[in-house]
Amino acid sequence: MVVKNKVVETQQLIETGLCAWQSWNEQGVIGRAKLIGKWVEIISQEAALGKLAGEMAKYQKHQAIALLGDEKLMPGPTGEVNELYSAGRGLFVVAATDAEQSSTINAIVGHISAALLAGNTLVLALPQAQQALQFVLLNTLHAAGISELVVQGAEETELSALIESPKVAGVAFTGDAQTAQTINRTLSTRDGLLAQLVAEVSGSALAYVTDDHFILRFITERTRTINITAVGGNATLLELGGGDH
Amino acid sequence: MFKALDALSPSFIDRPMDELWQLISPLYMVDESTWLAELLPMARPSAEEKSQITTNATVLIERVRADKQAIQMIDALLLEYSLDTKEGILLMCLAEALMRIPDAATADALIRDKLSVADWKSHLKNSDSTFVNASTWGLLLTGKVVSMDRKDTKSASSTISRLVNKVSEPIIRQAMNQAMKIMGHQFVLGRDIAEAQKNGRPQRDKGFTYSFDMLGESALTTADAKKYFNDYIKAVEAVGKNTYGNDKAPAPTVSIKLSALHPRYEVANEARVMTEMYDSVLALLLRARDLDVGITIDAEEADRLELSLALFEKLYRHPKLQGWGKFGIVVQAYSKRALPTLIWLAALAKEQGDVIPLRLVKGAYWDTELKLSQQNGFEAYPVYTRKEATDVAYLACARFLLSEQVRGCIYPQFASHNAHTVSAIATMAEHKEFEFQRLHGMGDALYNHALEIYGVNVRIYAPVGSHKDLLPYLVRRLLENGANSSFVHRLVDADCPIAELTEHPVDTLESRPTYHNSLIPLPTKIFAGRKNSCNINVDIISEVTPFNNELTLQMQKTWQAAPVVNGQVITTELDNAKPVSAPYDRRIHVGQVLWSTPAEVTTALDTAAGYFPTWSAVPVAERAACLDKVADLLEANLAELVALCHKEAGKTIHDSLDEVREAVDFCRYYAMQATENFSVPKNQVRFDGIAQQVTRQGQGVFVCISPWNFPLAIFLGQVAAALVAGNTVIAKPAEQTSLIAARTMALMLEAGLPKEAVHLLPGGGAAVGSLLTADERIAGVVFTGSTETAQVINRALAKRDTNVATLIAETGGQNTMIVDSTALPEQVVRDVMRSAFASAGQRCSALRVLFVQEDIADRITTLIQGAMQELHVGLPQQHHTDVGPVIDLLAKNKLQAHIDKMRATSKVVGEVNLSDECNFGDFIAPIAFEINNINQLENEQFGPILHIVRYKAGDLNNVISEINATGFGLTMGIHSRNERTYTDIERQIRVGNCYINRDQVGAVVGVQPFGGQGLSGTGPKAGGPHYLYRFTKQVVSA
Repeated sequence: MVVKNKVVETQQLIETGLCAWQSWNEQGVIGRAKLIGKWVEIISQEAALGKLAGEMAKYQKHQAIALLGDEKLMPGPTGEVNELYSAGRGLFVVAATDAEQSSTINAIVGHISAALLAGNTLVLALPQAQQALQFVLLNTLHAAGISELVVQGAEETELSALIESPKVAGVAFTGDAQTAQTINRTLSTRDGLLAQLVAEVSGSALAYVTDDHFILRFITERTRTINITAVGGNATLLELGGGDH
Repeated sequence: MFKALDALSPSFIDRPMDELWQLISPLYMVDESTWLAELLPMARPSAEEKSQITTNATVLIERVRADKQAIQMIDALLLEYSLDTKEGILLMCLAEALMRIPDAATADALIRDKLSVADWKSHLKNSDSTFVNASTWGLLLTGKVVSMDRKDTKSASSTISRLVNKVSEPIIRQAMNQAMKIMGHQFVLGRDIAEAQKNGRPQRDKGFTYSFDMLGESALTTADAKKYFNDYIKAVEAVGKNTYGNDKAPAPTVSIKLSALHPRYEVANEARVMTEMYDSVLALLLRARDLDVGITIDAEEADRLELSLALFEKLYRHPKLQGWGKFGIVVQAYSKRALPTLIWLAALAKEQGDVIPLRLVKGAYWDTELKLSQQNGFEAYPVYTRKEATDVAYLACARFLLSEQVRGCIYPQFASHNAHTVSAIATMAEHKEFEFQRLHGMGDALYNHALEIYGVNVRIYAPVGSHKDLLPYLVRRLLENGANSSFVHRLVDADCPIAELTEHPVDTLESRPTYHNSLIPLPTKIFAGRKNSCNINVDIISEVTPFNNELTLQMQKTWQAAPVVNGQVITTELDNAKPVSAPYDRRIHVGQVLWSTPAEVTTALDTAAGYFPTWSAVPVAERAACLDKVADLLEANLAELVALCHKEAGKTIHDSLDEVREAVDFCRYYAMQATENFSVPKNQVRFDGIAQQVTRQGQGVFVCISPWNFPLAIFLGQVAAALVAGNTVIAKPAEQTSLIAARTMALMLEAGLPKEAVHLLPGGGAAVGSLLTADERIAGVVFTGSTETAQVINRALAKRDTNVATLIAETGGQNTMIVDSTALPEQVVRDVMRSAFASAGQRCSALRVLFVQEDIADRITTLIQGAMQELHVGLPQQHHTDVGPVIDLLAKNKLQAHIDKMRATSKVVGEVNLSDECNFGDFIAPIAFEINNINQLENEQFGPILHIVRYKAGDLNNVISEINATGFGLTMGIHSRNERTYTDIERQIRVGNCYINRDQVGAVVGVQPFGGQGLSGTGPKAGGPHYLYRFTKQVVSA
């Protein structure tokens, strides 16, 4: 058996995830919510994930649609259209510390669903002890119709290489505060963009992942301004000026 | 405000000129309803007059409608494609852009873009036509459209779509170009003056005369102004030499647009207008007088009215023009200042004794005026907000112009295409010393009959010029007259009852619930739930004079900054105070600043941390009320803050005003957001079915580290957000702008923010910033500055053995603009100048790299070069300064090093010379280089340096990839008339703020939430609905 070059392999994971990002992001929140909806159905039947995992994904889906579903038309001066909308940040790594509790699984599911709904691609890099869990997660996600390029799996040994890469937009971590700090320190030593560390460290309380604005951590916002008077003028306004009111 | 009716008293125009002049400016944005109540009695007809007008108008309309020739090309165009239809807009868009696109591929793409998205079917009234014959343009422009039966079809639009996709594109392009040319012919009398004179003969034979208008937009460069000047001279000479028809009707005249004669015809450049521009207009007028060709000065935007009158007076009074009586001017009735303007002009004419020919129009820039006023946050509009209000004002003005005392002073020229207006004026007039004017191609039938009925003089305002110059004009004309509600449209629309058209505007207006239009909110009220920040219009005398008086006093002040901890201004180490000097003149002492010591940092941290639970428990409404109070205090101290922006930050007048406005908007916006979202605990059911009540609370102590380029707005924006979200705050302003921060801090405390909740620590990043970011009590940092510093802060925070802190960082950019060949070069260059050079390029959003499609690159670079020559770099407090200093010597040296490096390798497209004013400050002259690739640039150059890259149309996707590959993603500008092109670019480009067909700076709070991605920042966007959430945490309360 040929020993794979781990470093090269990790870089390939990253490149793959980045390549898949644009089309995944362009599917839009509603399109992705449909896929997460399928995932909810599948994992609700999956005993290995516990009975609340599906509920968690459903909750994140609901919040995604409520908060990010539509482009938001901003008020402003006449003759201009201003819209605010969201996009994924890029490639996220999903990590966790060893833990057997169902709350950890729920948190991980929360991270995965929110990150995907927001428009990010993922590499799951759960601890060695939870490779079975990771296997189930990957299988069910792919079964739901989410591409294998959009959600990939990595081994825990690749975690440090992943988070050291300046191409990775952020880490969604579930576990203890100490490890979160260590990850944060590693991320901070990178050059390039400032990575997001989304960390659920409240244990079984799941205080962070149940924050109703949690999903905002996974997005980047975009504003689009179109000057509609550049040509053709402002017909709507002209109508107002001559109206019978 | 004077009594409008007084204008009708015979002696009113005998008052001193000065006194009458004083009546004009205060009406600039007078309360609309109040002023209309003044004008209504002037416009109101007597019972007898009213019935006469109605009868006359009815007869006129009936005759027009009975006339088989009545619907001319343009009327037909308006009827079918009024600009309140999508197709009308698309048609105009195509017409406006198609003829000037040099490359076939882009032109084809534009046609494809415009033809495929609209419902042309409803305009195509016969299914059997083949595409070329039946293209709506073909139909329309050969006049068949009106004779088509109304049989509808379901196949026509699909026929078009199919043909557009499959028929060879060059053929369609040719057909379209041809159609646009035909359309052009309908609106332009001739391509040059000789052709126009020739084409005008039939009308002259009928007894009409002309005013020739040389087409062209405002000049951006001296070269263009010179070209327009020569065109005008040629026109004057041609008109002077040709006497055809002068026996039948008054001689033709020439209309001139002042903005075509000088690149800087604006109040800010009054000195140049009254000298350079005066000289060239005078030369033109002297030639016109030699040849006895009347000249009329066209009206433009409201901001320039007072300036145009001053220039007019100076020219009118010139000895060599006295005794002539053919130097005329245009007045817009939609302007609230129209009546006093007329009064002043009548007095001027009476005093000198030379009649002033005066065209009274309704006004063609209505939507622009409304937009500008809203953007600028002025208190009200300079124009009326109802069409019928303008009609009333028009008749009130006409009443004055037709009054006996004005006779012989002003020769009124009433420009209107409204049968009621025409009839009203003909009825109101008791003498015949006036004329009507109409546009070439519009209202032909109306005036053919009016001429017959009333026997008055009618002059046709006729554009002369190439199709390339026609289209912007055309769009304006159609806008003016194209809406469904317009008279021109309804006159030929047989479905519209005549009685509707003959209703007197006084009756119409009085039947409305209010005289002003309640559907058009005042500029201060365009945002629901909060007041727009106020502003003053420095181009208007009545606005700027009181402001300047106060500013002059404030400019003499000096200021002090020192640490403010727990409400104490700590001045114990006064000996260590650092002097602050003005960036534009280092000899000027602005004040002094005391840096914070480690002891003060500790006290601030102790206090802020200790007070957090208390502040967190203060009701959101109370915290928000403090911000509203801060906003009000900022507005109350506007002049002082502007003075500080000038003196400490080197900001120009507009930049300083914008700075204060943005700060005010931040306060009010965050106050509103917090109140709306955080006031009341929310009940929610968790994913696991647990019902709970949650609130959003602050996270603890926030450190706010702000930059010098928005020393008030960003400084206060950060602090306000953190505070209102429930955090206590330690603010470390940029070293360069500590005085502004200190003054703002004082206002915050004055507004009632608790002294324990907010602390100010002036000082350097290394000395003060690092002490703060190392402290474990810091819950979060909000930072705006360089990407490198953001990394340093991030590492410092990560080193702490405590919970991961929140870091909101707004960092650098390598902002670009992409311009394709459908764009209008003049518009592009205006936006490029502002995006790249305003604020001396010291905005995060500023344009650094301009990508221009090679097919129009020569024209664009020539314009940029020429427009740069017109920039004034100098003292920021002067109105005519476009570009002020850079912030300090360090910045200057860094920029200079880049310029030196670029000079060695790249072509200089344009550069500006520095005047002697700049000798004692830190100035960088704006410069533009042409480079091959964005990769040639390593870092952001935070100054007035523009790089230009030419690209091939086919390489657009590579351009996008290269821009994305820089890793920065803050702002981008796109100029294209092709909706698919700009949508595609916008979709692929990874930036936070994308601006299409406008400049890319000046994001407005709550309108364009601001912030980038990648290397440009973490988000969330400042001034957006998600910002405050990042400063809070969700807490379960029950």
